[in-house]
Amino acid sequence: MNKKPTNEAWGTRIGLILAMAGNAVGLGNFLRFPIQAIQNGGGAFIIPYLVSFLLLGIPLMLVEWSTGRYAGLRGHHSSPFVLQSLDKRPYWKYIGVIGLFSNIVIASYYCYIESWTLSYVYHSLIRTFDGMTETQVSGFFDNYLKLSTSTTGIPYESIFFYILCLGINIWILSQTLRKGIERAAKFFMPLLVIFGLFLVIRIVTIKAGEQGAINDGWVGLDFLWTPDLSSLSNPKVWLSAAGQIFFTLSLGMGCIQCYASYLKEKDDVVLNSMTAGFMNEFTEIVIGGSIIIPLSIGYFGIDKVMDLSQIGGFGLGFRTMPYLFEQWGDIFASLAGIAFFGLLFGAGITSSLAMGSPIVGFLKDNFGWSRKKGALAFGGIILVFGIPTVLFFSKGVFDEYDYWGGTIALVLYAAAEIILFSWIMGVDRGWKLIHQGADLRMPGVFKFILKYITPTMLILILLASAIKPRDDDWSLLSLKGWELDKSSIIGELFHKDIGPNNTWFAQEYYAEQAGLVQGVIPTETGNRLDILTGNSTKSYQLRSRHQLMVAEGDRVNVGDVLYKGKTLNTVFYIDSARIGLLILFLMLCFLVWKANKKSHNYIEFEQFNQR
Amino acid sequence: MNSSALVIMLSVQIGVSLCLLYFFYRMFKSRNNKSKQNHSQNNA
Repeated sequence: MNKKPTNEAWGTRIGLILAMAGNAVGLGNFLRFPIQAIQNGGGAFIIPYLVSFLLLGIPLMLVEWSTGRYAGLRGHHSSPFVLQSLDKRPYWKYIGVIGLFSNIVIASYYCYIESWTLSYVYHSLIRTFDGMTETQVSGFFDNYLKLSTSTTGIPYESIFFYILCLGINIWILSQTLRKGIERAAKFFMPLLVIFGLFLVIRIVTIKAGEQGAINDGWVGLDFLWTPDLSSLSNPKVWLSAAGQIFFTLSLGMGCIQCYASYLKEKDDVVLNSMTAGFMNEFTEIVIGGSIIIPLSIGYFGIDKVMDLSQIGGFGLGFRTMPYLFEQWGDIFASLAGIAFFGLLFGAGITSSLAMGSPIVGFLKDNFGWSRKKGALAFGGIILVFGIPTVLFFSKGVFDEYDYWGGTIALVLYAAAEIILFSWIMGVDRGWKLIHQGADLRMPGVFKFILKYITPTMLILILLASAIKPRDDDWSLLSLKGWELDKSSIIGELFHKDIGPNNTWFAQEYYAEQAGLVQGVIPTETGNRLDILTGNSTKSYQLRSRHQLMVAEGDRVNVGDVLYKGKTLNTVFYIDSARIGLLILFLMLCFLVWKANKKSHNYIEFEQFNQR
Repeated sequence: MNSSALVIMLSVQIGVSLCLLYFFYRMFKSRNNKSKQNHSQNNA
């Protein structure tokens, strides 16, 4: 099924490396890595992290770069046909659909987060956060996610920025490779490093007692890097490190393969992939590790930051950073806000462009669509699948997309491609493929790693994800069985811990947590019931059709009826999201089948003409 | 700053930066070699 290769190619080597690094450098470098580090042993986390980089990251990068180039020379730029070009058995192209699927699913919610960063650049510029308290800044983010609230006079502000962000992505993708993605990477990547270094220098020079800081900038770095060596015996730490390497290098998505498919036959793979990979590590370890944690600890102290880290890096980034920047005075606050959220936007857009490329490549290769048409189609699909994450963000749709499309699909695809590369195609042939035109030779030990270690690690990760014990506590493992965590694959599939509201539609709504009824507060869209549960307050939004069954001061237990009336439970949204994802996967399989059939017809026609 | 934290942080950050610089150096070296090869081929 060899096709005529396209004429598109990277303009310059540095353009290719910046685009590949841009693909890898994402929001996770700045918001996920530092949180993972402080939750998994501080400085000790770097040991499993670097081990995973060597045994999982580098081998998979080499596989994706070399197979991408191989398929590109045969006219294929999308994962189904990249895998198909390595082995003729027809099922590989359907396994390759996972690559297209994960790109669409991730881009659907990723573009939404990307739009938050764009919006926050704008708000930093117009000084929206000036004079706000910490609670007000946090509340601003909550309001931003509530679509009806506008903070700038623009109606449906979050949807406006989402569409704007999608428009920028479509416009860049519709240009040729050199004028679009390569030019964007050459602009955003250096800017991102400059913004990052500016923030790092400002943060490490924070002095306790100045501008409201309670600690020096170094205190946060000290906290982040102090090793807790006992954590190394915990499998959770190793799994987290492997997961972080996976996400940070954008492995298992088919994006690297797509970009590499525009390489020429004698172009280097080894040196280019190492440079792009290490550029990502530089931005993650040197820049990403020196921003949110040292800054937060400088102003809030260690205890509060540990509490805040429970809401994750994204919460910390959007809920607290603008408030902290405000402590630096008008000009610096604005500059820091633009630098930080501009940095995140640059990191985000270079990654989302990489997610769009395989889709555009697939439509271009197999259906003869132009780049412009392909980019518009990508935008349309993202809009259809992305709008539910915007509208039903709080209902768990976002998390469902992230779990199935952004986590499990990546590991599955990576496991499939490494088995295909090292075992079915054969590691000897693969090794030659990697070193074709290479400017640098990999040490021979990587041949062994490619064949045995990386596939074993991936299978172990999949297995561990399927049977993860409750609260990631691996000491619970026993031959007699153990309780599964709700985030294990089996736990997710069977809605473990869904609580008492476990039907799609109901006439009664039950309390999901025990607590004390604080009161009923009238809001624009109905009443809000607040229940104090431990240190936090759980809020329930009531509609006019709902009849309240509890009163202020009542103590409620899990399963007690809170209100009566027609109710659509969260499980409905979660299952709808899953059905949507399944339909998407089947549709992509159909398109691949159709493309393959078309290609066979074309080859038969060509052979007939030649006769 | 705690000495073990400082040692780990600096060694990892400097290590990663040096690796990146080394790869850039190799890239420019290979570019020069290739341009020299092209030059000598053109002369021949």
